[in-house]
Amino acid sequence: MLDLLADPWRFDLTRRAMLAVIAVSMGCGVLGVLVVWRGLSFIGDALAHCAVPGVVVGFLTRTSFEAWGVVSALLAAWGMALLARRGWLGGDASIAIVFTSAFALGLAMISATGSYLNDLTEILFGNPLAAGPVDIALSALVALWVVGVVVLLYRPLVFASFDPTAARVAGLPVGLLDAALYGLIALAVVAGVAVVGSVLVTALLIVPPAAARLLARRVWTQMAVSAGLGGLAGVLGLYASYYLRLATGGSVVLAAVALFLAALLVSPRGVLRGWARRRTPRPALAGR
Amino acid sequence: MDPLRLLVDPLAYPFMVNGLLETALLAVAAGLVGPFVVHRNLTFFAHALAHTVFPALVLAAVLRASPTLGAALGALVTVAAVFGLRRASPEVRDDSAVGITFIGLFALGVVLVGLLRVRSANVAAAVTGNLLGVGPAELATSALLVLALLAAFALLHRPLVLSTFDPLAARALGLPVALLDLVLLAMVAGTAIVGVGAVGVILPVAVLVTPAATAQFWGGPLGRTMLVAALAAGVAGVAGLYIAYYLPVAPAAVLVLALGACFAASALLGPRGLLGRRRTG
Repeated sequence: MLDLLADPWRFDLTRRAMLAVIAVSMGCGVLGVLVVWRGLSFIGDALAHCAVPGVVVGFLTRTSFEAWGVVSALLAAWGMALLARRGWLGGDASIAIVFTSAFALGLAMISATGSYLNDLTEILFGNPLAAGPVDIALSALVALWVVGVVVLLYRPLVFASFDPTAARVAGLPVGLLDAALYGLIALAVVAGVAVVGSVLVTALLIVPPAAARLLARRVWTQMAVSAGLGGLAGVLGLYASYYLRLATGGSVVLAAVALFLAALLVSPRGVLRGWARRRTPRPALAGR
Repeated sequence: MDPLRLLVDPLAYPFMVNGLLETALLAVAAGLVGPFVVHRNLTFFAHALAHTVFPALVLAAVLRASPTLGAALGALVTVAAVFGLRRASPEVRDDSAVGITFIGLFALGVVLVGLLRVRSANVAAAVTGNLLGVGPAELATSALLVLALLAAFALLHRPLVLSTFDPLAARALGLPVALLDLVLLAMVAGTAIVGVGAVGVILPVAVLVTPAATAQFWGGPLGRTMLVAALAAGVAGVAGLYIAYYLPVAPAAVLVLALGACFAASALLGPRGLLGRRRTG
């Protein structure tokens, strides 16, 4: 039994993948709580695709993919924030318009220059097992930066996320705070895409925070729980991928979804309690 | 060279004619369904549908079943999962339900591709779509879907519009709002399926959302919004096809960029855009 548990960790490959997933799930878990509170679940997947034109520029000019990817995702994220602030459209429509334009620009550049689309699909699907030491160091740095900024700006960020109108009345620079949050999300997403792939980053930004929301009440406990659940999903997913020979990114996502479903069952506001509540008849004059 | 010939010459090729027909169908669907998607904030749902159909397509390929049937089943599973998650707990928000369904099913597709060793020579085509490779069979499927959309809208347009723009009034009048919501979701799914064939997995949401958002800046009643949206989608599609005919770029990319340009221009110059509003005071 112990052998079964220890076996996967004999390899550098799996240990590195584990570290990468933990680093990414820290940053994404913390930011994801704010993302879920704001109803921005669409943004992870969208920003992952917004990195594409930058990556193509990096590819064509033989400079850093990551740096250009971050630049294009940052520009796109701020564009989304600006469009959403005008109040013309629902937040998701703003995200969709910016992201599809950015992605189409990337596609047009790829098809016009005849560069390899295979690299693009590699970037989109990603593979945690391919993470090298530099990737891990980079994603750890990004995670530290993200968590640091969130800790520093904790109160204003949370206030502006829950009640932007009141935050503006209280004199907070809501626009700047939004720009900071969207910027952090763009950074975390692109760093994550480079290390573990876009599918896994999108999932880590949505699924563990949604589970944490079911299990904890305060924002900072939700952040801690969500980062922890992301790491746990990483461990479970790596075991599954090692023993069942499944795609690593995909099985980590499925593990995270399984954890979410478990949280949905056992949560005080979840399915089981809901059934129990419906079974027990209420007293006739129960106070509301 | 004679500019007229530049326009007419490509029409000698059936692939170009098919592409133009598919574009026209897509524009009709976008005009019809897009305004509802924007107003009901179904954007993420539409994007998710285009992705969740992926595992169903993988399974259909393995079982040698019809891809259209697979896509329809995938859409059905998606709608059921989103509804189920939303009802499971008040702590699960709409966008979380969509997001978890979306990424969970998509990851399932990725795992299945590896597990069943599906040879996906068409991964690239799935990403970009293939507007210039539309065959008669796909065209017929799209035409049927668009006809179904038109029929649904013709039969139900009053209750659909009322339940979208004033759900409380619709409920008070005794309309089956939940059922109407399902019809609308099915219409979005139909449009997404047409869109995936034309512009791939990632970009159908642009066809659904950007034309309708563009039309918002021109104001007017719903009918006009739909016309403007369909027109924007059609013009962008034709531009995409012709530019892709003469230059080596993906037609879907040009289509979406043209849509983005339409949106930006309307946001600036439309009667309800930035400059328009200032002019009218």
